[in-house]
Amino acid sequence: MIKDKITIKIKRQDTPQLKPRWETFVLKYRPGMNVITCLMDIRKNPRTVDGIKTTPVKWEQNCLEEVCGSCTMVINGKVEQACSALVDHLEDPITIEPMTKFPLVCDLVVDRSRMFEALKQVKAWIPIDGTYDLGPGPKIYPEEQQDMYAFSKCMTCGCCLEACPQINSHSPFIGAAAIGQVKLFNAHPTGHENAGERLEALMTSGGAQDCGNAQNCVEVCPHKIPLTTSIAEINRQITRKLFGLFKK
Amino acid sequence: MSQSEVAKLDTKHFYMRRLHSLLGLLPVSVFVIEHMIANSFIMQGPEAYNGVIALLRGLPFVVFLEVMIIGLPLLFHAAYGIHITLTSRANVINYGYWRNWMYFLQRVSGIIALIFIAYHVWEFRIASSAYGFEVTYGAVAKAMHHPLIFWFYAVGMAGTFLHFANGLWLFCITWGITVGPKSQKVAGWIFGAAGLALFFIGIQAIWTLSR
Repeated sequence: MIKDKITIKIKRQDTPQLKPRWETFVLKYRPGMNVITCLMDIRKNPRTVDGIKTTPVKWEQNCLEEVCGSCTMVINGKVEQACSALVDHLEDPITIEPMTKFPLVCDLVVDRSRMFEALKQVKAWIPIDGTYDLGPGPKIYPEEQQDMYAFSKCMTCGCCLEACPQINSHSPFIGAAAIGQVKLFNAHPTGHENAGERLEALMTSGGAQDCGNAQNCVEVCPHKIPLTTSIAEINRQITRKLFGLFKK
Repeated sequence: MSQSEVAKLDTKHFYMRRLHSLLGLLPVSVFVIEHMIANSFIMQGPEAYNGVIALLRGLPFVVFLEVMIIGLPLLFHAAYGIHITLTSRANVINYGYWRNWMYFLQRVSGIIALIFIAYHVWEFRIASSAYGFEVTYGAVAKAMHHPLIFWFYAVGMAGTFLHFANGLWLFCITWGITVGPKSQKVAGWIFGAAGLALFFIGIQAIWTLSR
């Protein structure tokens, strides 16, 4: 089917305090369009379908190749990156909303700093700084590398939190992304040294136990990170810790 | 103070959640299986069924066992289950995946099971003892002849066994027994079949009684 016009409905909000409003735009179709190019077209001539002049829509973008996660938004009811959301694969009219699980800044821009806070809480790093050269780290076999590589692709875009029914204002759940990073750093031979501390962080309020296993995270993850596997794996590590079998 | 500092030493919820999961298996699920085995004696007629009731009622320290092994664990499981349900915000409309539906149904079926079990325990344990009527094949059959009671039991058991089967599936993840998607799928089939089998015994029992 060849269409010459596409309709875009965008949820707009100038400040967190103001009420949101919907604006509809009609754009000329070009082959290969994605949601970002639609937003750029609107910016060139910010006029709604009724011909009323409006302000350009604000959004975040950076890499434009689905590796930075900054253009994550809710498109036709599902969370994904706007840069890789192809118009040809989307039903018309296309509705675009900001993510709902993060504090809104304006229009499609949200504040995802809770994800960074979560990484700090679980100590998602390997402390190797010291006063002398520690020499080369231990070997990691290719099979383990492959297993860990999947988790290193996480770009903290927020899709897993947005789709999770346990992430809401009534629940302190930390979200799948940080748990996946604990799996990654605990699997690393040097990072393993602090495995216990990371597990303790996930045993506090909002930790791994608050996962409800709806498994939406693994469905919506743009990088197909096996998040639910990491959650069950962390549960296993915590169980081992409970039984005192966890070796440091 | 940042969120992480507040949460630092608060492991209470972790232990409550793990206890909730453990009690769901031991003793609650094990008791449910025992209960269905007892119910299956209905197939062998009124005498066999009355004999099983007499045996169970005649167990030494029966009230102690009922309160400590069934009553209190079930009450904690229900109370904490309500708390868990209140922290969820289902989103099956936008994300209609199978497991997301099961997440939603686990909470719905938990509430159904709670209402059903509360009525069931009141009717055939507490009220019968308090007002001194004996629970026998005849007495239960009389209740099941009422279509409303029959359907209340059918729906109640559907909720209970869905919660049972999916709950055991969740137990295996909560304790890190089934980690990968393959083992979780296999566990799903096993517990699904077990839940269906128990539901079949339950329906067969109330069907026989209502004839």
